[in-house]
Amino acid sequence: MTQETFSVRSHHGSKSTVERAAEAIFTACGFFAVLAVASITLYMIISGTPALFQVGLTDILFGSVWKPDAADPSFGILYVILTSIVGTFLAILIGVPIGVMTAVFLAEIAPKKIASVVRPAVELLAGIPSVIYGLLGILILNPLMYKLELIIFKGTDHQFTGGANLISAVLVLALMILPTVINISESALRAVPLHFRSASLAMGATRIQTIFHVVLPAAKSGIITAIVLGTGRAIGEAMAISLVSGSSVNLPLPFNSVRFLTTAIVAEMGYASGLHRQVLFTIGLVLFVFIMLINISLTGILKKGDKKNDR
Amino acid sequence: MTGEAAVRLNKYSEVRESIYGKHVRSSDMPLTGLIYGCTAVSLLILVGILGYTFVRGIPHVTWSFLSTVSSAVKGTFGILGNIINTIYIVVITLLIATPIGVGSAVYLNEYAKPGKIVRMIEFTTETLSGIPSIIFGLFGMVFFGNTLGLGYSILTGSLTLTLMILPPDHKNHTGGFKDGAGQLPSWRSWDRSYQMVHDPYDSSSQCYAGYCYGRDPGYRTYCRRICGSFIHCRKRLLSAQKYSWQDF
Repeated sequence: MTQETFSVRSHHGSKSTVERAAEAIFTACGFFAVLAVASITLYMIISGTPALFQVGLTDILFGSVWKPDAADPSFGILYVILTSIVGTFLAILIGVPIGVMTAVFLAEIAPKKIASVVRPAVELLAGIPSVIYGLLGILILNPLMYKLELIIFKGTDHQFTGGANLISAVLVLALMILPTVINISESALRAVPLHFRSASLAMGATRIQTIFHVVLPAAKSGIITAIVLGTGRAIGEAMAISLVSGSSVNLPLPFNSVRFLTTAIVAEMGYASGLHRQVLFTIGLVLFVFIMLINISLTGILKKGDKKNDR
Repeated sequence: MTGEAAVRLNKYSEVRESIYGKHVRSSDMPLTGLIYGCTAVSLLILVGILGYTFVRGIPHVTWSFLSTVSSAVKGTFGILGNIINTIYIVVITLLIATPIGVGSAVYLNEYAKPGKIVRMIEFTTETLSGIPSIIFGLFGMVFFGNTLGLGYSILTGSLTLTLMILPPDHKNHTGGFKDGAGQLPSWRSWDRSYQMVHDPYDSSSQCYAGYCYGRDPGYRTYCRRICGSFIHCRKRLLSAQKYSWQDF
């Protein structure tokens, strides 16, 4: 034995061309996401702002009349923005408790066998395309809502919608955020160390007390993440609610046919032109701003959680 | 309840019957009921959706429905064109997205040093996964459709879908093998990366492709505008062929 260690690198002396090329390619791939977000932001701003100045900031954002095709068109999207906020809020209000409780069942209560059946089922729920939710909403939910509407508004001058109203949209949205909320809350609950539970049980707390007073508070930041991601999904959902919400611009009252930010774009982009089209891009920009706010607050929450864990 | 809770916490526990089992609070009952009730609601909805779709859908699935295109001339109504388009768009999207996604993961694992750049990439990846599909649609329509001049085509759809399915970063999936490879001084990082991606025991790259495939067909509905199905809805009245073989 003349040489005990052998290294190819020492024979090469320096990095080979292949190595350098590979590094360049991988670096480019790594920055692809940055490039994508930067160009999407840029394009949304470029195509969304002209209409803002042309129509006037307050006229668009705080105007309540949406008549893009009239001789004297007006582009107020206040009701559309309000609908998106109210609709998303109500969907969260319904979907989050159900989702978190299901997550508690999966992580804390369910025997292993049952959990192993329920968990894939929930994942399946996440994989169902949104258009299916919309279709089922039309077939099942809307007729029910219409019957309800006929009973409640009998003899009034209410504008009947055939069941395509805010409630239908909220129910469909609540259903659609369930998988997101369940999956993320469940992993948050599972991340709570076992000795938290042991200590609580040893102190004489029952299992339910342990869940509600120890485990859930400990998993708080994970559950907030779930809520924020659910909000993001609800506010960005287009296909399903465009089918069940009726899509006419109205105040977001339970039995009104309403239009969300997303459905406003979907409904009219097909035939819009000129200023009308630009205003639709402005709606896209408003939606984009909402999403960015949600993302940034999420990053803030996650960072806070990290710091807590480090301590 | 017997000592089952203790057993659940520690499967080696010898405690089967303990005083713990005698501790019953009546106020626990409604909360337990709430948990079971919410789970039941989630599950019933799922079973309802699946059942309803199958019961209403299955009777209409016939061979001619799957093997013909809708044509007013021939008087057929089928979805072969849509199926072929879906397969096209999924395959092309995966061809574009998989190398970029895997390359990006390799960069984060192998080359990038922890710091500002990695944080920025992580932030943008998260942002990308939070952007709703309709924004991707608008962007795809303007950028790929107008700026790059691709118009309404499968390629526009695939490029837009590429942006949408990139986010799942599988940064941490390839750790173990890398450590092993790192022990061998002769392996350059390119070799290691190659090995990582092709490691038969680490299926993360296959999983990635599988995940993307799962996400694709569900989201194609959002992209109907950029893929131009409106145009083809009109075309199909004139020609059945053009409906299934799109212009790209």
